[in-house]
Amino acid sequence: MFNPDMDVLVVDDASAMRRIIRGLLKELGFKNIREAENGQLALDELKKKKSDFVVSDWNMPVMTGIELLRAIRADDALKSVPVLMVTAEAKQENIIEAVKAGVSNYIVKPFNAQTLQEKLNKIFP
Amino acid sequence: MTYTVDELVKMARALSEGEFDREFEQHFQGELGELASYLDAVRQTLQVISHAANGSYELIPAAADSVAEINQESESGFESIWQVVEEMQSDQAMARELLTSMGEQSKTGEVAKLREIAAKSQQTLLSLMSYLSFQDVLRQRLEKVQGLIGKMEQKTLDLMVKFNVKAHKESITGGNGAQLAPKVDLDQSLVDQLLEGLK
Repeated sequence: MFNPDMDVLVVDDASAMRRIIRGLLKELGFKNIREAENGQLALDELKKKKSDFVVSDWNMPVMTGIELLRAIRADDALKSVPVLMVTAEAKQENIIEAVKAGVSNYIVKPFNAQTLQEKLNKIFP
Repeated sequence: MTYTVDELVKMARALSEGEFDREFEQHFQGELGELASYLDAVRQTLQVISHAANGSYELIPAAADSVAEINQESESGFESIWQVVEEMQSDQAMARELLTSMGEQSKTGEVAKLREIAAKSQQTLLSLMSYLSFQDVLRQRLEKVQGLIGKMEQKTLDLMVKFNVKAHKESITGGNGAQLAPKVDLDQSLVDQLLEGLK
């Protein structure tokens, strides 16, 4: 079960998606939600203040989601942060690449709320 | 009248200058006649290619505009629905507060029913929000299509410049004097060819 006070970082270059994910997480009880427009800005935010959970898109300018994931796993201070990828990239090779990079779970867009809840329950049992 | 090799040179020059619509007069005999015949066959092929390239070039910006319009309408639709979502979120928060204020002790049938309805309403709101993620997928797919259209436009432009298509010059400057610049970024070699062609 997740702690509703945990700090969550939502990373997506589309403001519409950031609003959707923020809205969903808020409805599910999360209270502290930050946002970043790309992987590099997300990494900068994480280094300022470590989040307890990261939700990230794949395709973003400057630094992609997979690059962000690798950077998080390579950083001793951040490597244990759960990362959920929420992305339109649905090919097997993408999923394998994400798993190899250390993703905690993977959701394909468009998605439904039940899928999000199931993935959260798996990440925070 | 004597037809010299000069006439064949004129035919070849006309082809190099994009004159594909003017039929060549066939007055030659023997090997020169054969050469003239081949030049005319090349003219006819280039005529078909230039008309096709011209036609495509005129259609491509319209296709790009249509895709951009679809993207804009999808974004506009999303914003309208999101306003409703935010209102629902606000109503949900108020309902939760009211039910909380009724206290856990309040176990009357009506209140229990209200809690049930509130919980169901929240699931509906969650579903609505998550289904809106289709808009992001649509946006990404449309961006890919726009990229492909841009590449098609560039290749068609390249073809037209290489074949020195005269109609292309008019599409650049516009019949009414307005600038109708192509919606693609040109590399330097294409810019130089265009400048040469527009001289």
